[in-house]
Amino acid sequence: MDGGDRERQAAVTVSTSGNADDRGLVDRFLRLQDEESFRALYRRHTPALYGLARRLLAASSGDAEDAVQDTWVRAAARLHRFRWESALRTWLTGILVNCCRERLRGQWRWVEPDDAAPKEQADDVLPLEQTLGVERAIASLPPGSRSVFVLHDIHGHTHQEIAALLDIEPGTSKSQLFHARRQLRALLT
Amino acid sequence: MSEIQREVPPPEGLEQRVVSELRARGLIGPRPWRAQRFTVAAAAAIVLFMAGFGAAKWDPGGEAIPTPAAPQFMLLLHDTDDFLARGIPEDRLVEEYGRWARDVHAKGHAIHGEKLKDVPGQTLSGFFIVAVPTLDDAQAIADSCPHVQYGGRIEIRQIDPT
Repeated sequence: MDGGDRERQAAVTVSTSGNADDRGLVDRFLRLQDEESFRALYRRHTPALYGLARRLLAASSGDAEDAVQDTWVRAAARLHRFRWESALRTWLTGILVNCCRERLRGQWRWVEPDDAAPKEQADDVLPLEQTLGVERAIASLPPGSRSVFVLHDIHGHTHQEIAALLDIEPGTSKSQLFHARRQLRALLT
Repeated sequence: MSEIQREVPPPEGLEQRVVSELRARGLIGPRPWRAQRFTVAAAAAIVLFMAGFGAAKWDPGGEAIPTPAAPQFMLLLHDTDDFLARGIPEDRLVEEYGRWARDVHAKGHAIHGEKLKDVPGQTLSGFFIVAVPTLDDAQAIADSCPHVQYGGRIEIRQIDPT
């Protein structure tokens, strides 16, 4: 690119962990369109996708199943254009989040902070004893802050990644996490 | 959050349901005619390009080709993984890009665009040609394009007037 050219680059998550096996399976699937490769990819990634869908939707398992099915249909149709700019799991997660957002359209709200901007706190971890109660508490959060909490605290995404996935600023992600944790703490104590 | 399991076993029937859906859509299973169909599609795209029309034009109407008096810049639209993950329906993109092009045209800039046929492994999905005085003007127009807002990437190249 010479001085007369410019490029506008969108924020892209870069991760290569676990990509080697995925690449082999994807290459084979694209070459042969075979069921075996697809099933291998499905079994590798669906438990995490399904877990995420259940929590993002906080609804019936049927809705989560539909979201996961839509995710795989969209992914399979676009897989030949996937550029490996991110890990396959990150890309699939992005598709799933969009599928869930479409289902939550109208319910999606960002809760505005009612105090000063929160700071990241390394020790801000909830004391959790009863998983079932925690799941119910997570499900009771507003969709926006629930999504940030699930993506950050359960699925390990960074605020930068969450910002790209949800189309928000990293600061909004931090703020939503702060409020989600505070609400959960209140619900669980 | 270590007590919470990130992974949840999906229902047993889901895998077969997904596979059946992909098979029904032709995304799984041998398709010997695929290569031939693609060749035809690519050839059709070239013909449409040469003819200057197509099913998915982003033309604001009226002045289709930029006037040669002003420098012309090509805005090359590349699809990123982030853009693809958003799964925005193609008809919605065509409509939004068309509306954006009309807005640019209404501001006095000649603009013409086309959507390109999908080519496996290629990120280039379409282009606009805009006639504006400077590269900064072209950059400002590219920045306002919905393609960038949806996570896509736009490469700007000046057309050689010679």
